[in-house]
Amino acid sequence: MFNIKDLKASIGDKEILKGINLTINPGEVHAIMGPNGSGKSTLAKVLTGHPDFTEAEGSVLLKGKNLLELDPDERALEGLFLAFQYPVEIPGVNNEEFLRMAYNAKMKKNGKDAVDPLDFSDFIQEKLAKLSMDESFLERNVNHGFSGGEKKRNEILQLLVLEPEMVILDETDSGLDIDALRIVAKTVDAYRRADRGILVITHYQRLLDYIKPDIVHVLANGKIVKSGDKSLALELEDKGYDWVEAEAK
Amino acid sequence: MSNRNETKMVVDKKNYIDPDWLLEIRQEAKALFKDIGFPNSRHETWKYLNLDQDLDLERHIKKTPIRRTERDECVSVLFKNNTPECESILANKNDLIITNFRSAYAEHKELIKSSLSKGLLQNPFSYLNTAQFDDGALILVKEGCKVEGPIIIDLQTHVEEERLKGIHTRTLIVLEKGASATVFVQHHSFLDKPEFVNDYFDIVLKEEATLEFILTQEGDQPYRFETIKASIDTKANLNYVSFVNDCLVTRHDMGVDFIGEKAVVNLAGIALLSSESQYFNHLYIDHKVGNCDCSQVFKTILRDKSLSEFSGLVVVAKHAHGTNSTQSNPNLLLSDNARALSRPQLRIDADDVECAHGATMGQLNPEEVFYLESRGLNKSAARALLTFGFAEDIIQRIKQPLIQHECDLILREGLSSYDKHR
Ligand SMILES: Nc1ncnc2c1ncn2[C@@H]1O[C@H](COP(=O)(O)OP(=O)(O)OP(=O)(O)O)[C@@H](O)[C@H]1O
Ligand SMILES: [Mg+2]
Repeated sequence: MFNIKDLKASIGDKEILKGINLTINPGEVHAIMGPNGSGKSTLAKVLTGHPDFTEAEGSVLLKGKNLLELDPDERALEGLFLAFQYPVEIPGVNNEEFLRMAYNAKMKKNGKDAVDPLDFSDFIQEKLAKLSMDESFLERNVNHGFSGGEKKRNEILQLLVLEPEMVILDETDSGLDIDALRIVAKTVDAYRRADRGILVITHYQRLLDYIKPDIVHVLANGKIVKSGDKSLALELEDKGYDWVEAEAK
Repeated sequence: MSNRNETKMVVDKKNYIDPDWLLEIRQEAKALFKDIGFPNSRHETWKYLNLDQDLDLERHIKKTPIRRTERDECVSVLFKNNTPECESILANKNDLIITNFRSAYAEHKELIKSSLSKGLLQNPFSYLNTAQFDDGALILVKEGCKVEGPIIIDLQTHVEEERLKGIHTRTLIVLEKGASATVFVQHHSFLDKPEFVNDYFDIVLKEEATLEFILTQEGDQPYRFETIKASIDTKANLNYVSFVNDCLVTRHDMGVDFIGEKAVVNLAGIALLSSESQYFNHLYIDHKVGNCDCSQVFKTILRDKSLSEFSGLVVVAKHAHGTNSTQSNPNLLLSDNARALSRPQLRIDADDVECAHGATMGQLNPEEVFYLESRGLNKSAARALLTFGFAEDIIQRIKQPLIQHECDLILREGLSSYDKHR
């Protein structure tokens, strides 16, 4: 369902992604691990159409459509979702109102009527409960003044509202306390379905204890240098990245 | 309403003459005004506002829509042009007194007199106001009284047979020790000829008094000048929010004097400017004593050929230690032809003082636009939402829920055309 072919991206003269190939079949969960600065977040940004990377080369197919030819909002409406490593704060914009606008953009794309605020309010309550989030988060402004962990949880709330088919999580586990990590990870794991794909970017095995990946990739220096099953994550936790990078050379 | 006060309020308009002390004050103010003269671009603080400019004023007359919310809980003061109509709305109880000056010159002479003679900014229009105002409104909240609903000051301009020589309204708001209130100022214009409007608000907060003061201005007279002077005593608290919704020429002069320690003043404002609108915002914050907090956040959103000027001077006196005063002036420029001038200034003579100031000019943050787009909002919807958020951030600082709601509606209406823009 999700097919990345020879994806390259640069900032200025600096090439950051140097030809990424990755295929995620429906129902699969893939994990990407890799050293700091290896290009993991860049990959997520390129896939979602961040304005710094409009010149990316290669192709990214989601259900047959080349995402690289689409604007970021069109990619989202095709079913792509990124939970950001660093979600931005948006003062003055009410969280619930924003969620409803995003939800209604999707409804419109699907030829359905917009939901009114009251119906949406009922709909969102149930999602909040799944994440053990307090109702007050709806009244606040988008991520504004949220703690690191609260921001991450708010990203997953958006995921539950928008119900995307292809999900990318960029270090969603970092910043979450032990209980929050369990709640969030279990929620994501419950989100797995035969027609959905999930790509988890993480540094730590603990997230993968809850969301067991089918395949683990190592990204180093802009390339996928190794792929394996979930035991690879354990091996990395044990031995670090040096041996993988050495092997790749 | 007590009978005692009712009889006092009947003032014979035709035969009224100002008391001698007031005539004297007016003479002095007139002399001061003549001294400075009508401002022109050679005056530093009037550099960008050319009052002789040949604007086609009548073209710019916009009638303000009448706005009403559920106001059962409110008291209001209605100004028709120069004159407050306090007779009909008097909430003359023992703890809240709302009255016109003429009915109060006897009983509250010292209060009014000291406001008229001392409560001045060094500004020609404040002198002109003192010389010219007809009658004023006094809002006096007695010691310890907490006024529940907002007090509305509705400044209306109407057509009169004779052309007016400008409209000069005068309001004195005094909160005694421990009192609290919310005052909401709005303007309604029923004019079809341009008029020069010069409003003056003198705010006196005694120890531990808490005032929320919201000033809104909408499509209105081509020239609207507002002077706000606040004197803040020990542990008093002022929350001030201004909201300018596209008036042709607006000038705000605000002076805050800290005269007692541990007071907190929050000043915030948002101005939406389009076509050839101009907004001049001048602040003068005087930390005469220490250990007070003052924050200023004044934002503008500029489109077309609009112009804004922010000039904020913060003065910290030599012995005013422990002062914390911040100032910021973010401007959102949505057109290449719009201009925002910003002059935050600090003059600090004390040690142990925290002051920060800054201005930003620019466009929407691309990271924020991208974030919203990545959730399925198209670019123009994302931009519109962020522009709204930029302004709403100020409206949210209004604590009184009725008023916040009302301003929120005005903002949404004012910005509704923006997503088609760029
Ligand atoms: N806008 C930018 N300008 C310059 N360099 C950039 C920019 N964005 C990313 N980079 C560089 O690209 C490289 C990859 O960054 P990226 O954020 O993708 O790393 P990462 O693998 O996500 O790291 P981490 O594990 O720390 O999150 C880094 O060297 C980074 O400094
Ligand atoms: Mg990263």
